[in-house]
Amino acid sequence: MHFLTKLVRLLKQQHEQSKEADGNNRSGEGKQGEKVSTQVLSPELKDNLDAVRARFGESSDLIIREFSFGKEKDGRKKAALVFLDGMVNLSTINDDIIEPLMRQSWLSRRGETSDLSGMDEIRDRLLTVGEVKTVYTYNKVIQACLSGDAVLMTEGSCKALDIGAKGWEKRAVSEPTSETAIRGPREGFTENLRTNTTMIRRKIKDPALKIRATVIGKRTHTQVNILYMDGITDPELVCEVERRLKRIDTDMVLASGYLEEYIEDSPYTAFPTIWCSEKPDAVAGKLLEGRVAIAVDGSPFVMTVPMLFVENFQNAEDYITRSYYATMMRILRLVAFFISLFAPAVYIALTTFHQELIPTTLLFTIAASAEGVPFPAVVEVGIMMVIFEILREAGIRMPRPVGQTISIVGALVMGEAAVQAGIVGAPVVIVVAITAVSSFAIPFITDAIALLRWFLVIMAATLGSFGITIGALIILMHLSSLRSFGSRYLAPVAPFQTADLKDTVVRAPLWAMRTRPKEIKPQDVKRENIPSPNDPSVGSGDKQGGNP
Amino acid sequence: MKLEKGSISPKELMFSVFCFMQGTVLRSGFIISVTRQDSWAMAITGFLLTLPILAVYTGLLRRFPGKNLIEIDDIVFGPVFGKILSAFYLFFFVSLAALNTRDLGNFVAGYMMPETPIAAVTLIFLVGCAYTLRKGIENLMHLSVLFSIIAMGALAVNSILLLKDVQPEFLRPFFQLKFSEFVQGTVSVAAVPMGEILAFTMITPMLGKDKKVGKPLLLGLALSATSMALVIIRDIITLGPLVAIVSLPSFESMRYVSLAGILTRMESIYAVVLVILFLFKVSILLYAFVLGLTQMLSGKSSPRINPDPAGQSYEAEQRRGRRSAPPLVLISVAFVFFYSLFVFESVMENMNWGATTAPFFSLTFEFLLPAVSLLVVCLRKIDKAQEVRA
Repeated sequence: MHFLTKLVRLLKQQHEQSKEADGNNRSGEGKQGEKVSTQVLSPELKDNLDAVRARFGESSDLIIREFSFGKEKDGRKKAALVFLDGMVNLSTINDDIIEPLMRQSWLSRRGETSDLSGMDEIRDRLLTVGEVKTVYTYNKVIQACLSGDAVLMTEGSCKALDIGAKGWEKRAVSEPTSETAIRGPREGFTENLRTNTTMIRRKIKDPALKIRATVIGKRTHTQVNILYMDGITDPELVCEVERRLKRIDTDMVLASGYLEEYIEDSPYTAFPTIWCSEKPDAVAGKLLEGRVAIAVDGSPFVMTVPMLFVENFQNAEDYITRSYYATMMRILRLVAFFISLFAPAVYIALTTFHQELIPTTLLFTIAASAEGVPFPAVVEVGIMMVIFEILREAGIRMPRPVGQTISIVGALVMGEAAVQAGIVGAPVVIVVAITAVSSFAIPFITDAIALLRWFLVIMAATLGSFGITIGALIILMHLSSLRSFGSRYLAPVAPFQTADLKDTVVRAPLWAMRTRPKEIKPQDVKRENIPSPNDPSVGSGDKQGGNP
Repeated sequence: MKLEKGSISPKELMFSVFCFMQGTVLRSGFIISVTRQDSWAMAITGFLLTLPILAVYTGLLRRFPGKNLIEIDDIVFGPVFGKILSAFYLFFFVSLAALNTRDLGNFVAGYMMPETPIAAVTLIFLVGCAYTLRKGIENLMHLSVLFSIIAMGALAVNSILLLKDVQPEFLRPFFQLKFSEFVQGTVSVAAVPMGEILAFTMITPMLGKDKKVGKPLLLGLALSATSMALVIIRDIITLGPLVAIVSLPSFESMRYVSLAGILTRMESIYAVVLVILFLFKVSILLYAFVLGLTQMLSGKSSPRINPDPAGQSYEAEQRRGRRSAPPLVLISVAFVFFYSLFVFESVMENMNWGATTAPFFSLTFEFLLPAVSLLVVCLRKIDKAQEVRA
């Protein structure tokens, strides 16, 4: 009777698991794969191993360690451990899986022969590994191997054990190169998903930080984690993120940037509508504002949504430095944004259409320097902008030592020599140089600006300052119409939200930022309960204590 | 994700009214040429005269919450006569759009780009408007607060920089104007910049049904009237008698700005602000026209031409591209383009029209037709209950 109920339960479990496996592989991995994936494991060890070998073909990294365990002759059982070389931690395999099985002899003393309890016995009493799961299908076995686990199969059992033994080479946690810290924490994300979520977990030690996992990519099977704060984040936002991620039907996700294009609201915009960072502290800050983070295995950048335009001008360091200084930096970044977007266009408009707006002395100088140049201003600026973009691209892609050569060639030859040779005027070099330098002050939207600059240059060359104004309005309208996961991109400027201006151009003191940004629709708007230092009702007690 | 049905807040509506009006306010030459140094008072009396017009609008809109002018016409006058009346309104909107486009063309061709043909200027300008309509009018209205801040900031900075050049005695003698001139000035102000908020009766349904429309419109108007009075006073005390001669007093007065020989040519800022405000105004007028036209042609109660794709992904974006009416927008814009090209032969004709004919032309649509509508509503006792039954 007891045996029967066990059997029924087992069959039920198998059925459920195979159904689940079918669901995961609904869109197919080739005909052969489908045939195997729907099958459950057979009690014959040889059949199982053959099937695994067939799936992996001639892959040289597949290791199948066959051995037998148990003491007495008739109690000896054949078993095999399947794993991929390089994906597993060999010391775990040797010390915690194979050694207990082969050395420890008490199993045979118990004399258990039922294969069902044999497998459970191994899992419950022998394996000294933290993460062990029982699997029933070939598909699960293959998946386990591919994700770096070792799979233990024994003769006579139609179950296998998925033993967590992940241990591949990974980069150590180091200071991020894309964002350097002055006073903030220096650790940055790595390519390992679990390391990344751990770093966030270590910043937010709260069970409300939820991590939901999903797998994307028919071929790459990339692990993707969705992080959010329960009780702060809008649940609808979490659902929306999950819905969009689920909809993705692609064969590869190699980095977080791959996902970005599939889930953003407006795929035709030049502006980033999904924010990403290499710094755990920055991502933790975004999570606590009510955003959702998306971490992708294999990418040291964690994305957060929704993104607002002001985030382009924010920096994790802003919240560590004095608020006055942070505000000044914000204003500088805004100025840099305008310079890098408008400077070439304004130069063209001034020199071509509105010479009367240039102070007379400067006008003479510009005219003198343009005297020997055969091209109109727009062509000069165009040449220099193209040269600059080439230099930038070459400088980034070249190996470091060559990169330096490029910058010297660029700075000396392209700048000084081009002017002396009479190809461009000196003011153009200055304008393009300041444009370039400014665009690096706001690294996150450098690409968008580089594109829109050309648009404005064309508008300026056609219709002068009027063209620039219309061009700027078109850009502004575009920004205003952008959405990022339901949030309006230009908020809190358009629509105007007075309460949230505290973290835009001005970085208000931390004690004054009592609420979370409204546009993200957090469930819990209130962030802190600290009264301001000049609040007389609270501060007075301390002051009196200090000055008796 | 929640679909916010393109809702705008009362605050945005208020600042939209301000932006809408401010474009005309900065070009107050047509009033100053009539009433000279007392023009600032016209801003106030004109505002007072606008109040009954506004009362008519709010009266109509309050009786039919969530409906715009064209829909109200259909309810009040029935499908045939209502359509004829709607056609008049549409003609008014499109005419205003063309007139304002022409004004902008004249300004840009006259002051910024003297050698550029006016058609090139208006074409690029209307391309900007078409893009705005394509992206959704509510997104433009979200920007209204920003534009208002820019406009007010430019105004304040310019005025402060002019302080050393002003002579308050230019305001004297007070009120030495004929009664006919006083009436003309007041009616001009009420009809030309202020009454044009008729276009907003096409937009107020966006506020949502339970919001009051009167207050933001009134506050916006009051804000505009104040700034208009201030601008005119500044122009008068800066320019003196010259103010009645030049066509753009604000522009001319800003030319006086000179601080330490560096901060000069402030009028270029004025020009930029003016272009922004004109784009705002013409976009709203065009929106009123296109929305009205869509409703007239389709006969449906509320087909929104630009549903806001809030929180939707690119599928929705593409669906929106098909659903909205870009051909209608483009056709309307093309129409306005050609209309604006032949609407006036010269700047002088334009100014003359603004000072003499425009008030009567505008008031027909702004006051007479809505007032008749309201009267019919009151007499026939059509109200919400009946509308619900229909």
